[in-house]
Amino acid sequence: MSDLTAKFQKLSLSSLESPTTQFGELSDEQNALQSQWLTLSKRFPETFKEFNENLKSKTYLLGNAPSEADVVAFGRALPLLKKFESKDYAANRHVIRWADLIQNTLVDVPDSEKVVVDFSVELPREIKE
Amino acid sequence: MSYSLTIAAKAPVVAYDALTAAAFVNSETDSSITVDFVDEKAVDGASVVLKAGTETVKDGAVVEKLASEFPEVLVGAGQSAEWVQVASSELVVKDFKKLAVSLEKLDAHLNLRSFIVGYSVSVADIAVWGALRSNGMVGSIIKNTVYTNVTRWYQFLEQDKRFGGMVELMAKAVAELKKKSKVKADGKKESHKA
Repeated sequence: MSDLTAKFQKLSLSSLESPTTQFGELSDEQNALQSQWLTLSKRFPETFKEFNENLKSKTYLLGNAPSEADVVAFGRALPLLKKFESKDYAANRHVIRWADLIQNTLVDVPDSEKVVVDFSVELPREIKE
Repeated sequence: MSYSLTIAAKAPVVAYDALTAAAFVNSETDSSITVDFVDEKAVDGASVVLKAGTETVKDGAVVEKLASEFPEVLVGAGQSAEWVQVASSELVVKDFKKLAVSLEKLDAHLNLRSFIVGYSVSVADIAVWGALRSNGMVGSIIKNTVYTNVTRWYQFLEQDKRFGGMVELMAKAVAELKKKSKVKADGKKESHKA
């Protein structure tokens, strides 16, 4: 079982494409998933949908622990997410939640560069299909 | 100061919140809280008793006391107050209709949040997770992902050794107690015969 309070040195915004690794060892399966998310994140914004679906059930891209995929994908998503308005929230809620977690824990984002999350936006409940 | 925690394993609402809070203190500080279990419905009339030095606190006051003693690991007590209240009053109920209203509220809160308060585990997460874990109605609701965000958040915490891990540890300890008390009972019988 992992420890939720593992401490990370925050990465600078400019280093995200090639982060100095400080994440835990990955299994083969996790490595494959990481490659997948790294590839898909090159095709934002059309792959936000896949990210959102994945992050519905996972706190981080690979599950319960942060990985390189989180910071790299975050760096690629940030310029797009900053343009989101409240009408974009419902379909991308899990991506927004994830990005807000990353920008407040793993990456040192200056306040002026952060995705501003409006927590007061009311979203319809998602029902499992 | 010395701390000892005793949890009643058969209490109507098992104090998983206190158990997790103690695990945080033990894993993150130099202090050490001794944790004991009794295979009973109550311990001194409560679900959980904390002895802190000469002071004794019970039930809901236990996590509050630990949070005030160890604010560096049991964080956000002030901001958590509202959710601690919800946990102890609304999330332990077995009435599905009432419970559904509260779970929907929690699910909405977790739409854009990974943790209940802030960006790390706080007293609110510990209180709410503990209340849900103790509620026999909740297991299948989580498993069936009735509330998407609640399930993601709950399972994320569950895999941490201080949440799910402590529940397992408690189950093992209680099984040991049962074994011992059985041996003891048999022993008594024998001595009685003799």
